[in-house]
Amino acid sequence: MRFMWLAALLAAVIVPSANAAEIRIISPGVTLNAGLKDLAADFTKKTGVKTTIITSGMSKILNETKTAVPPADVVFVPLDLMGSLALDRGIKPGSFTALGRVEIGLAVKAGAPHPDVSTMPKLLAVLKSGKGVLYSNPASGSMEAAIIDRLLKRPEFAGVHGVISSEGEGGQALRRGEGDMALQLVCEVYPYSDISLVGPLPPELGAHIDSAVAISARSTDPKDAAAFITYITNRAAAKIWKAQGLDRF
Amino acid sequence: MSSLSQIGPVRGRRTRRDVGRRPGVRTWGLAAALMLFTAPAAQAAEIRILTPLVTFNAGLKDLVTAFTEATGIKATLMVSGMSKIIEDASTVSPAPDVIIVPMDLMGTMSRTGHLEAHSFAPLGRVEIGLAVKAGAPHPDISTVPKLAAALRSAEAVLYTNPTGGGMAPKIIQAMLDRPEFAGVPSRYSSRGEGGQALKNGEGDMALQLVCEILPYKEIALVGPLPRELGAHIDSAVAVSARAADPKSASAFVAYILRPEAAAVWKAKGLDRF
Repeated sequence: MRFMWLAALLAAVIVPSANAAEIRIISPGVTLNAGLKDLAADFTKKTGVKTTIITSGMSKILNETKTAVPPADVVFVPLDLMGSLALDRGIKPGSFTALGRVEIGLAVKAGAPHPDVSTMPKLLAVLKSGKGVLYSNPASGSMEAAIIDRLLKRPEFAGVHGVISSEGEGGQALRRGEGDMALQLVCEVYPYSDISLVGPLPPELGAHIDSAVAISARSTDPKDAAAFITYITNRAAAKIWKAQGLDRF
Repeated sequence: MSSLSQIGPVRGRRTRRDVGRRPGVRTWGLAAALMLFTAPAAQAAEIRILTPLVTFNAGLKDLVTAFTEATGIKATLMVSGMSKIIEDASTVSPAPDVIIVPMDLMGTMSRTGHLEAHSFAPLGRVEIGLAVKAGAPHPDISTVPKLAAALRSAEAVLYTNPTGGGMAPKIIQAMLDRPEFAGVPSRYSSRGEGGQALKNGEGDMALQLVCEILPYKEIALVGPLPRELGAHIDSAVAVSARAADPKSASAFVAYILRPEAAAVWKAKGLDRF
């Protein structure tokens, strides 16, 4: 009987802290696909802190960060959106951390020749030779698709046959054979063995997404959130990000 | 040929005790002895800070002075245009210790080895705002349709010529090219910034970075443009990979990012993240 009381007392003390050892991470597809899934799993293995990743589209992610229940503890968004979130007091002061860059690249089917896309004239010549250059639908609210859509509307790109994917990403449409090339975030080319990354677009096009991470102002576990951010931004983690397409700053 | 303008060095202020005292022979002797021990460190305690105008005008000058007063570390500001700042960061001699640039450029500099690893720190945002002459009524510009109506009612909406390479004029130009702003009587400043042209009477409104409106008492800030236009410059700070004094550079970065510095930035038009 005395042991049962003791067990009940211990449970009352331990259960709340065990419940607290769980963090929720809100992220757009770009960071989710560029190493976040693996790093979150590694963090849980090493610390015992559970991690739940909530994926959100770019057009909704700020609102969801501010209002979703239960709230996220850690927020990943592009740098510009993080600036807005910081000014709206949506993140813990001082926690805004620059994370890294994911480039938009050119993909072809696996086994197809890799053309030279290292300069603007060379990239233009290659794209103009394509039967169909696939990309994701910008109407979906995708930041990457909007960048590519603006790029293809530039006068230099006149003559490029851009084709919006019938479903999902441009890279996925390339796999289905809807065209012979795709413009896609490199982290969304790597996962598919039947398509192959030719290379990132020339830097002067600014075709990339720069991301940041921070602790949400609504976090119920800011200590574990801070530990998670330290974990994913340490030097060892840079290799995991790099392997999946994100270059750490 | 570098486009850099150098301001400084900003030196430590003499204290009240120093003023009016003439050093005696013993003092000179002591000073000479002290110099033997301290001269190398004192020479090292000087940093150079590379910045574009947006942060230069938004509180950096004041914070550099305050940092020098607080630490005794000399600081020289090197102002560069946006179109040349990456090149200046890698080639100018002597090299900068601290680099302040917009976020996107900082990302590029980080990837191209210009920065000390992991020193990239977000700084803050300067909005583009609408200015009118001091004393003129302030129109409601809280939404895009209201802003567009206010701009259309102007005789001339002034802004800086984007061919100068400035980032803010390019943002303004892109905004005015949007269909919602058709019919706005926009005009480049004949010389200098849009706000300066407003001050000189070339028109009755100006679109300009807030930090470049606040210094002029002859013109008044109506307010920042609506958030959905994305009319702002977000800046970041980092320690240069070429820094001769990375320790003092890190101390400077920590100084300008500390919470107490936020009020200085805010007063000059930069909202700290």
